[in-house]
Amino acid sequence: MEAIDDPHEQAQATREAMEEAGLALHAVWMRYFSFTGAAGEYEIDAYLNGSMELAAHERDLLAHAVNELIKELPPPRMAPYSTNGTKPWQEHETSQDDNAL
Amino acid sequence: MDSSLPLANELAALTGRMGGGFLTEENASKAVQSLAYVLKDSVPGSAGAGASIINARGRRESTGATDPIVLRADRLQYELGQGPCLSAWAEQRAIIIQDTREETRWPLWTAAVADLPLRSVLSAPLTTEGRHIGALKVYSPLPLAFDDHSVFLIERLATSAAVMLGNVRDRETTQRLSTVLVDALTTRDLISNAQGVVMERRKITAREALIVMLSASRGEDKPLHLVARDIISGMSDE
Repeated sequence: MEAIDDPHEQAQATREAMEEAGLALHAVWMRYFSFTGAAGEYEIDAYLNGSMELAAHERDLLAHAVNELIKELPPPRMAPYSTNGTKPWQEHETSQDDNAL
Repeated sequence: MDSSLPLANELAALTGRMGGGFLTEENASKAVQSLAYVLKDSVPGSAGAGASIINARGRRESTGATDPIVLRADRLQYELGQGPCLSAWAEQRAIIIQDTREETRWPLWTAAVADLPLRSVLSAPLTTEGRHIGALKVYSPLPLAFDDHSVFLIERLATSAAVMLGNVRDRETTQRLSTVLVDALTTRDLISNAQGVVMERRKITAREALIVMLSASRGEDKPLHLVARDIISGMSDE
């Protein structure tokens, strides 16, 4: 989420962020459109692929759309633990009781 | 004015019977234009009528316009992202501007149409089977051109127009008009209105107002539409 001066670098980093998060162009464009973005979906595609320039505030609206969508993604899956012979919630409850006393 | 009502009812009944719908896009556009003429003729001295819909690429466009001024006034709404028809569409209710020179809700648009022979506007949403297709509108060169009867008429005609536009085959438009798009339009309207409030409060341009809202959203880690909502409800000083 750092700031970038070069429009091409911003486009490339925005596209990479979308790819890493698995965001579809259509979903990103829709959010950008809801932010009063003025460019069409094809134009956004062209910008992300480096073949068209967008004004700074349009680029930032698009970046903001991508960032909001990334924040809304479910957190990555965590690895499960073994029960280790006990039920985790029992142990948790006991330790809480200890603290209370 | 009343003489136009039987025709409107007849058209409404006709389109109701077309339920299944085998309209091409061109036929639908012509049919909507005939409704637009009924609307235009129902308001003495009106400048023109037509409908706004969204096309497959998510771009708003005009269809069935009776006069060039409708296209010009509509295009300014699409370009500026604000105006009575976009609000009627997003808020799903009829909108009246009694006098564009007194109106404060869409400052960019009313300023942009100041040079057009256009003083009052009536617009109603086009909805069929829960899908928000667009908006019907009529423009008048006179202030205070519309009354309760006009609202009744436009809502009646909007029902017919929506049925026709909703039944167009091969039109990606209506298929893509999912709830997502309707939500996006509603949010866009909300953000655009908040932008207007910030412009007014700080005496800054539309672009600057959006930058203010964007940095508030980033700084407070709050979604932009919530920033906009708080600005509208007066809970934010942005």
